[in-house]
Amino acid sequence: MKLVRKESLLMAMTAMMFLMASCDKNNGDNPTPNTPLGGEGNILLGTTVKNADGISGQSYLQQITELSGTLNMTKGVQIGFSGSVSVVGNDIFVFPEFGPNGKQSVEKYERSQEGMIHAGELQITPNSYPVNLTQVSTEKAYIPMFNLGRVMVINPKTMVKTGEIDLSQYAHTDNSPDPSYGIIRDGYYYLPLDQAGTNWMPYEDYRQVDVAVIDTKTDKVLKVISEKSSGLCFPTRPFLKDMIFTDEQNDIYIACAGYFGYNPQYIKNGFVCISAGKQEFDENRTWDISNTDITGSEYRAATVYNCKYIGNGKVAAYVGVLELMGDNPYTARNSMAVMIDLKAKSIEKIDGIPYTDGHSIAIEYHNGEVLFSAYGVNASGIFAYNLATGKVKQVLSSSGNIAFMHFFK
Amino acid sequence: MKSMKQKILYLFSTLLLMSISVLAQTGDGRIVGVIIDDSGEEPLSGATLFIEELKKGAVANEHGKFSFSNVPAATYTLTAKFMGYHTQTLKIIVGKDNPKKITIRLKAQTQSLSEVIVMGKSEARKIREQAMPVSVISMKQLQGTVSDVQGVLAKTVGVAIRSSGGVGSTSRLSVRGLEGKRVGFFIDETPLNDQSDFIDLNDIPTDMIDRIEIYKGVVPAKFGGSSMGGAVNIVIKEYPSRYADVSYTRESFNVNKAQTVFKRNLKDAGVVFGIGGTYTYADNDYTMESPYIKGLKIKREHDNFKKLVLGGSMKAKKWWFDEVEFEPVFIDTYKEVQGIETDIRKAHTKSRLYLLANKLEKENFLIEGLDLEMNTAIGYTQYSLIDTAKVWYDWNGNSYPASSPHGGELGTRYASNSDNEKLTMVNKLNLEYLVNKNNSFSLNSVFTLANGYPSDPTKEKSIGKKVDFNSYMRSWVGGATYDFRTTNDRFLNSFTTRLYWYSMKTSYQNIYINTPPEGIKLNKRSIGFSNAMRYRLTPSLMAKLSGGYDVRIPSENELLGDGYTITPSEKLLPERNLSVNASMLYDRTGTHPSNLQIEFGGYYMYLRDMIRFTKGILGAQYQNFGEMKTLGVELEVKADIFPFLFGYGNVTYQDLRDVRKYEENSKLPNATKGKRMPNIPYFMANAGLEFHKENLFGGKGQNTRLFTDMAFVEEYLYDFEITENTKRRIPRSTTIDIGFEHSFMNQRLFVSGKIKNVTDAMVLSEFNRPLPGRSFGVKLRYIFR
Repeated sequence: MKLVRKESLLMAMTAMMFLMASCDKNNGDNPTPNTPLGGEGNILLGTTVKNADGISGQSYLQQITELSGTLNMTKGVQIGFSGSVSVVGNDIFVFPEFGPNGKQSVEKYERSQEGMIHAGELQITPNSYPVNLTQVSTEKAYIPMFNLGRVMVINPKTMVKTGEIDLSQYAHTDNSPDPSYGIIRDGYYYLPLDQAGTNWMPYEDYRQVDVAVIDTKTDKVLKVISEKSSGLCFPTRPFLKDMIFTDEQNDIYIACAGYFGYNPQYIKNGFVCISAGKQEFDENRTWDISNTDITGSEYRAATVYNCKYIGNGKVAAYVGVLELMGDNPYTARNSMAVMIDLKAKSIEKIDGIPYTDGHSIAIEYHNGEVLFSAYGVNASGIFAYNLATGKVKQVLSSSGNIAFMHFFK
Repeated sequence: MKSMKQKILYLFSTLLLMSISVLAQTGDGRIVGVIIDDSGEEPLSGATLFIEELKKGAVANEHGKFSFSNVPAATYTLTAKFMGYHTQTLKIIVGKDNPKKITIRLKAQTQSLSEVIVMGKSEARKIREQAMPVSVISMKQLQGTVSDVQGVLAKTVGVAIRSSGGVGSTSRLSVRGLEGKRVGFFIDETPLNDQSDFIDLNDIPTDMIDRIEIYKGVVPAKFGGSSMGGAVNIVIKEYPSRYADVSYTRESFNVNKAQTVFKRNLKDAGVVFGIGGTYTYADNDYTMESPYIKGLKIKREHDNFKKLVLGGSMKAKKWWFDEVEFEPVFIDTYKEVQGIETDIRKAHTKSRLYLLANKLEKENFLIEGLDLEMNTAIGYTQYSLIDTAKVWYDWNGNSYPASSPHGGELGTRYASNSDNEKLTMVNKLNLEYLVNKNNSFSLNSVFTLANGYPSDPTKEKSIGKKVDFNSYMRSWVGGATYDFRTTNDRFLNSFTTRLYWYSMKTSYQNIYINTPPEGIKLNKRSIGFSNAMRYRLTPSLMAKLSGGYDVRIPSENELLGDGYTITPSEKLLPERNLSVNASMLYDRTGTHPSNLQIEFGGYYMYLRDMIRFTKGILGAQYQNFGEMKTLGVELEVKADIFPFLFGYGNVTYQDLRDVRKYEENSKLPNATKGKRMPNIPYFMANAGLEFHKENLFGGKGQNTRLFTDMAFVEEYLYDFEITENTKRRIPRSTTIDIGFEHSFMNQRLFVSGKIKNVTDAMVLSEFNRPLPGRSFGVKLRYIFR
C-alpha cells in the first residue's frame, strides 16, 4: 500500500514535469495577417490609460462608428505609451513611444470601414524618436527624428528609407536641434526646430524660434530662419499635427509652447508667422498670447498645448494655466479650452469643456463642430462645441484619456 | 508480586540516580551538576539551564559546571540547552537536606555531510511549526542542487525571481506578488535591505548556508523593520572546530566563481574565528535575439561582471554575553551595462561596500527569563555610474554623437560620472521575557539611519544644474509581541503591534526651472498589528491562521531614486497591507521514513498605496499605486519517495487585482478596475527529483546525487489587459535543469555539474530582456577537516 502511494506520488510529479514541458502557447504578438484589427468605423481614436505618475501607462488605437455612449476599448490595438499617429488618406502610421524603451519601428496600417490591416513596418534608428510623417508625394514622405537631429526620407508606399537630411549642424549646444512637426508649402518643407535641452525644455540662452526650410525636390536645407525678437520658443510639439498650419492666405502660423507652463518665470507663448510667398518670419505678426486677457476666465495662457485652425482667423486651442499646475504636471488638469482670434488678437474661454490634463488635448473640426477630448474631474471623453450656437455637449465618454482623433471620409 | 515490582522499580531508580551522579558538592536546597557532551565527555561551557517552576536560570562554566541555590524541596522541570545539541528536559526531585547532584549529557544534533551540525528535530521543522506562514529550504534541499541562492529561492512556493540578464544582473525577488524593498532581506536575522543594492542574495555561497527561511504574509516581530509580504532570512552554518572549504565553479559564458571559507574554533577560549570570500568573474557573453529587430542575433559583449566579497567573523561564547559576534565585510563590484536597444560599449557601474556587523546575545539578561538579542550593522558605500561615451552605436555598427556634448550612451540625454557615498546604520534589538511556560512578551526595535551624499559634476554640467542632493533618512519601528502557548504545545498564538516612524531631510530641484532647490522635510508615523495562530490537530497535522495590518515605510532609494536613472518621488506614502493567511501543514519529518510534508495554504491581501516601480519618458521612479487585492493559494509537497529518491513539487496561484474605484483625484471610473496587476506572474509551478546513493559506482566513502528541477511560469502580461490585442507579453516558460554531484573521500572532495535550461527554452524577463539559454557548469570543491 505504501509503495503504491509512493509510486503514485512519483508518477504525479513526473507527469507534472512532462505536462509543463509539453506546454506551448503563442504569445499573441503575431496576430493573423490580413485580419482587420481595431474595430469597425470611420472614426479613429487613440486612447491612453496612464499610471498614477502620468509618465507611464499604455495606449490603444481603435475605430468606432459614431461618437456616442461610452468608449469600449476591448478592440483597441495596443501601441506604445502615448505613441503618436499620422494619417494620410487611409494609411495610418503609428510611431513608437517617446523614449529609449520604445519599439524600434514605425508601423503602417491600411484601414477601411472594417478595420485596420497591418501593411508594413520601417525599422528605425534606436533612440531617434521619430514622431510624425509629412507626405510630399505618394512615394515620398519626411519623418523627423527628434533626438537624432535628422529627417528620414521614406517611401510611404513601400516603407523603405530612401534618404536622410542631417540637421545636427543647426543644433544649439547639443547634437540635435530637435526637429518637430513640419508643413509643406510651395515645394518647401518648413520644419520647426525645438532646440530643447537635456530637460526637454528650451535653453535659457536660446529663446527663439528656428525653422529649417528644406527643398522637397533636392532634400537639401535651404536655410534655417529664426524669429529672435519676441522670445517665443519651442515651435510646435512633435506629435501634434495642427500646431503648424496655413490659413486661407497661405500664411504659415506656428504655435510655440515655450516652457509648457512648467516655468513660472517664463511664460511667453503664442504664434509666429511666415507670410505667403516669403521664406522669412514676419515679426510684425508674431503674437505672444501670455499677455492677453482671456474673456470668461481669470487666467492667462502660460503655454499653448494644442490648437486647430478652424478658418477665418479662428483657432480652437488648449492653453495651459500656470495656477493649475499642481504637484504633478503630467496629471494636473491645467489645460483650458479657448477660441483664439488671430485677426482680433483676442482669446475667449469655451465654457462647458472641463479642464483637462496633458494626455487629452486632441482637437478636431468635423461637421461644423469643434471636438475637444478632455479628461476632467467629473467627466472625460469627447466634447463637441457647436460654432453656430456656442453650445457644448459631451458626445462620448471614456474611462481612459482620449489623445487622438481622426475622421475618415 | 507487588512487592517484587516495587523492589525492581526501586533498584532501577537507584541505578539511574547513581548513573547520573558524578560530582559531589555540598549545600542545602541546591542543585549542582555538570553538563557534558554525550559522546566525547567534553564539558559544554556556556550551556544554559533553566528551572521552569522557579524561573531560575544558570550558565555552565568553563568546566561545564553549574549550580542553583536556595531551591525549596520539590519536583522541578529542568531544561538544558546548548547550541548544536538536543535540548534536554528532565524532572528533578530536590530534597530538604542534601544537594541534588546531576550530570547531564547532551546529545549532539544529527550531523549531515559530517561537516556541519544540523538540528535534530531539525531547526527547519521547528520554524515551520511557528504560527507564521513560512517556507524553509533546508540544507537537504540546498545540497540537492548546484544552483545559487536565487535559483534555490525560485523553486519555492509563492516566490518568483526575475533576473534581467546573466550573472550579476539586477533581479527582483517577489513573495506573493509583492517585491522589491518590501521583501525583507536578512542574513542571520541582521536586516540588510538598505544594502540590497550592493549585497546580492547570490553573494552568499550555498555551501555556507544552513537554511533559508522564507516568511510570507505576516513576518515575525523579531525581524522587526517594516517588511511586507515577506522576508527572506539566510541562516549561515555553524562550523566545527577546524574547517576549510575551497571551491571553484566554471560555467558557460565565461562565468567563474571561486569560494573559500576557513573556520577555527578555539574551544578553550570559546572563540570562533572565520574568514572567507568569493570572487566572481563573468563575461555573460550569451547570444540573444533582439526583441527589437526581427532575426537579429546579438552576442552580449558588454556585460562583464566582477565581484569580490571578503568577510570575516569572530564569535565569542564565553564573554559576559552568551554570544558576541563581529563580522567585517568588504564587497567590490564592477558591472558593465549591456545594451539591448542600442549597442552600449562603455557605460558601467562600480561600487565598494565596507560593512561591520555585530551581534550580541544573552539569555537571562539583567533579570532571569529576559533574553536579549541585538544586531547592529554599519555600512559605508561608494558607488558610481560612468556614462561619458561621446558616441553611441546601433546594432548595425553605425555611430551617432551622444545627445549631450558631455557624452552619454544610455539614452538619458545627459552624461554621468558619479561619485556617490552612502552611510547606513541599522540596529535591531529584541528583548524577550519568558513569563512562564505559557506566556512570553517581547519588545522589538529597529532603528535605521541612511545618509546619502551624491556627487556627479558631469551630470550637473550636462543638465546645467545640480539635481541630486544630500539626504538624511531615519526610521524606527518599535514592536511589542505577546506569545501564548498552551502547556501541551497544541496551540500557539502570537500577537504583535508595531509603531512606525520615519523622517527624511533633503532638497529637491525641479529640473525644468531654475529656482533655488526646495528643502524637503518629512516626518511620518503609522501603526500596525498582526496576530498569528497555530493549532496542532495531531502531532503531524497542524493548522495555521494569521492576519495583520502591516505598514511598510518607503525606502530611501524609493523616495530619492538611485542617483542613476531612478528619479526622486519624495511624496511617496507608506504602503499598508491587510492580510489573512490560512494553511494546513502535514509534517512527518523525522517521524516517518518518507519525511513527507504537505502544506496547503490560501491568503488574502488588501494593499493600499502600493509602491510600484514605473518607467516613463523622463526616467523611472517609484509611485503609489492605489489599491490592490490579492487572493492566492499555494500547495507544496516534499517527500523521500524512496530512501534513495527525494521529490518535491509546488504550485502557486496568485491573483492580484486592481481594485481602485476611481481614477486618481477624480470621480472618473477606473479603466483598470478588476484587471489583473501587470508584470507580475500569477501561476507558477516547480517540481524536482533527487536521486542519491552511496558508492553507486563501487569504492568506499563515495556518494552520488543526480537531480532534475523544473520551473514553470504561465504567460503573463506586461500591461493591464484592456484589449484583446494586448501585445507586451512575457511568454509562458518551462525550464528544466539537470545536474549531478559526486563526492569522494567521505564527503571531502566534491565534483558537480549542471545543465541549466536543458531544452534551451527562450526565456524573457519583462517583455524585452532575453535571458540565457542552455548553459553548462562544473564545480570542484574540497573540504579540509
